[in-house]
Amino acid sequence: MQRKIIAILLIIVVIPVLLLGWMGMRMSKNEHNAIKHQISSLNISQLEKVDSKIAGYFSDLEKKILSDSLHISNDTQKFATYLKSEPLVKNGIIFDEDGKRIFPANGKSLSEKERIFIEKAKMFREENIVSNTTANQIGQQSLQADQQVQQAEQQQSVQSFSKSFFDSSSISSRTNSRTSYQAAAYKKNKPIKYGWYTWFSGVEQNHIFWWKNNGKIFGVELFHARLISDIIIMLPTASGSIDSQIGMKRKPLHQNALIKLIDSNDALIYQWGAYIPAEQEKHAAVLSLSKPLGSWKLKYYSDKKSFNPVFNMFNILSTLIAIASIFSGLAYYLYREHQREITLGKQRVNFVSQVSHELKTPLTNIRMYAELLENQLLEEQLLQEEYQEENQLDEEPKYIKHINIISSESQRLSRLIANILNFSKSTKSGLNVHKTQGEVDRVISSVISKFEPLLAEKDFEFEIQLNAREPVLFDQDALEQILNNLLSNVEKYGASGKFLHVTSSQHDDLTTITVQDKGPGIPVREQVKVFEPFYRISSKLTDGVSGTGIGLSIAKDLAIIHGGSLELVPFESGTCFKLKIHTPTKA
Amino acid sequence: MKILIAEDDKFIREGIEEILKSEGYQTIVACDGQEAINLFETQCPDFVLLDIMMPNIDGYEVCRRIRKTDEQIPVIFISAKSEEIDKVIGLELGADDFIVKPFGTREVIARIRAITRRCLARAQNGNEAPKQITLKDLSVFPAELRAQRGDAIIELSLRDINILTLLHKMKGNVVNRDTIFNECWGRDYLPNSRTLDQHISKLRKQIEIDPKAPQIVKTVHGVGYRFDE
Repeated sequence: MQRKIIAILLIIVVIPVLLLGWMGMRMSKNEHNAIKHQISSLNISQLEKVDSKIAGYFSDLEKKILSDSLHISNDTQKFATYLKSEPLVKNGIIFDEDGKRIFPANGKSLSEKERIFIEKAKMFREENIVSNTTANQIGQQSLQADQQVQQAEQQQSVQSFSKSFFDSSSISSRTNSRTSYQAAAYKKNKPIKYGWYTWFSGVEQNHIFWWKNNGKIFGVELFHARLISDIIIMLPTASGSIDSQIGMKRKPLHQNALIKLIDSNDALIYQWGAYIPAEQEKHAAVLSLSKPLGSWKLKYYSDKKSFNPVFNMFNILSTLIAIASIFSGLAYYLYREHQREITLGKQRVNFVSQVSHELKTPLTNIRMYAELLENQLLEEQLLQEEYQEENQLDEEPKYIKHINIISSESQRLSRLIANILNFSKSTKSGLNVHKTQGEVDRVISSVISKFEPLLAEKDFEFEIQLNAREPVLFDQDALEQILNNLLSNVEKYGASGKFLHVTSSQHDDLTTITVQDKGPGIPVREQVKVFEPFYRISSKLTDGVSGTGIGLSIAKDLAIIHGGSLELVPFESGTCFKLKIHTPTKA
Repeated sequence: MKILIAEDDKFIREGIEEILKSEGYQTIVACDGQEAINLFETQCPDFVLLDIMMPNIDGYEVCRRIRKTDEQIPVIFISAKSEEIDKVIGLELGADDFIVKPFGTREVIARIRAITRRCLARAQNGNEAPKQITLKDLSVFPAELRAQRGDAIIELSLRDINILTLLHKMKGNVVNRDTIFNECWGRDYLPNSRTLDQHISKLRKQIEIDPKAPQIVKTVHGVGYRFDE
């Protein structure tokens, strides 16, 4: 019992704590993933901002060159002057509609710089001529890009063919606002096709911005170093401070982060941020730059310790420990209260048992001596019978009556104590039966004989039909107590009927006994409740009749543990109890 | 038949003694366990009535020691302890019966008679005492402490059986009061004519068809009683 209670209390504590722990872990894991995702998104967004800034730079550059192109495209001389005056432009080239180079003019002696450029741009020229038509298509499609996003996907498929040659894909494939704006701005004047061509000459990266005007293709090579320099100036300083000189809002990077700008050769171009990653540390996020620097990458590094799940685990554990402590305290409190109740209950039961036992000795004497006196007086009476007859004394001497009362009351007290003891036993450890061989009818007769004087005094008629004479195994004390309670009820409640009918019978291993009276009976709605402990019918039936309300409850319990039953059977008048007990002939 | 009564409560002890004597038994009494063992060893009773909660040595221990020397002698526990475990311990120790306080005289008598029947049945196997005697239309079975007339069974005490056996033995002759007292009450008993008369009246009520006109136990005024075949 004790172990069972402790196990239940442990379950009360352990299960909620485990459940809360599991839920906490799950929530923490989800939260961890969500934060991880958010941080990843934040990292990407940081990189996208940088990319957007660089793309903005190229967009501005495109605008400027295209704006300039309106003045220089019709005059080769102006174009040549432009090349010399524009510090960002390194070289320039023009092809006619047939793909023939018209600047620098064919046949004209070329400077070393021009010669190297033409040599480097040879591929551009060849590819440009071959893909002339494609370039037109690209230009046109790029104009429609702001209208239909779906078409951008088709453009992308076309560009997949030419993207290695024309970085115009940066215009057409990215249907962003910048590209759309650019296309729309120049649409008003005349259709302009333009784009970027990036290639490598050895490890050196070369950038040509090209446009078509009146069938001619113009291309200008930009200084790579100057481009990088311009880009770096735009980016935050290495320590993350704001560059007041440029006036750009250079929000300082989180002190536990670092962004690296990596070129096509995986060489570090520039980095900013205070965090120093480990040698083999993997980046937290990576983003390819928009064209024309599509082969460049931005890598984001951050201190993982700043997002430490152990901290969450600590929170969960400390919360769980707190909850477990509260539950344990509660369980301990309940356990103590329960123990206190048990102790008090045991004390009560022991008190009842002790008192009952203490009552037994004086009660034994009262009962025994009352009966002895009764016997003695009966013997005296026998001797006086003749004398009484002679003197016409029919009246029973009063002392016989008095002694009968003492005797019957002591028997009633004995039954009451037996009931209380059995009831305290049933609440403490449960009732038991101890079967021995005997004759059921003998016990019934013995009990009836005890009640006979009492019932006879109340003018009861008896009808006894006993047919359970076979020696069987049964608990004689239990049967006696059941019958005591039933007959006591007849005496108390069925007196008005003045009739007692007791039958017994045996079939196989079952003995059936009925006890019936012709009293007022028990109302139907009360018939189940009368077997409940302490229940007494509140009516005229019980008014003025003493009782504890445990007799039938004990009788039924005893019948059940004796492998039988005790029930009220419907009867036309009065009360009829049917008792069944299991009475095998052999053990 | 001699019965040892071991009980610490004086009134219960005396009450049981009175019941047993009225039934026709001789009694020896002990007020604690040690005295009970001593009396058992010196007086050789036919069976023992033992209280459990006694001073010095408790009833269980007394029973255990008795069983060491005599495995056959019937032992009946009389106790206020009514828990099943108490009964089980008593019966496991070799007790033959268990009477729970508070008890009625009828219950004690019934159980004592049951034990006596077993003792007499065992004793009868060894001697040639008659199993049945007939007093007119009444059949008496001394070893069963019963008599029978037709289908009616009459429960009798040991003293009743002794009186009827004596009258049957002396049939046709008057059995004087002293003889009856000596044979049926014991030689130590102080004769009281009223006691005998009361007992005979009670016996007649049980065995006679008309107790006022007795046919079995006839009074011989001033001398005693007689049974005529």
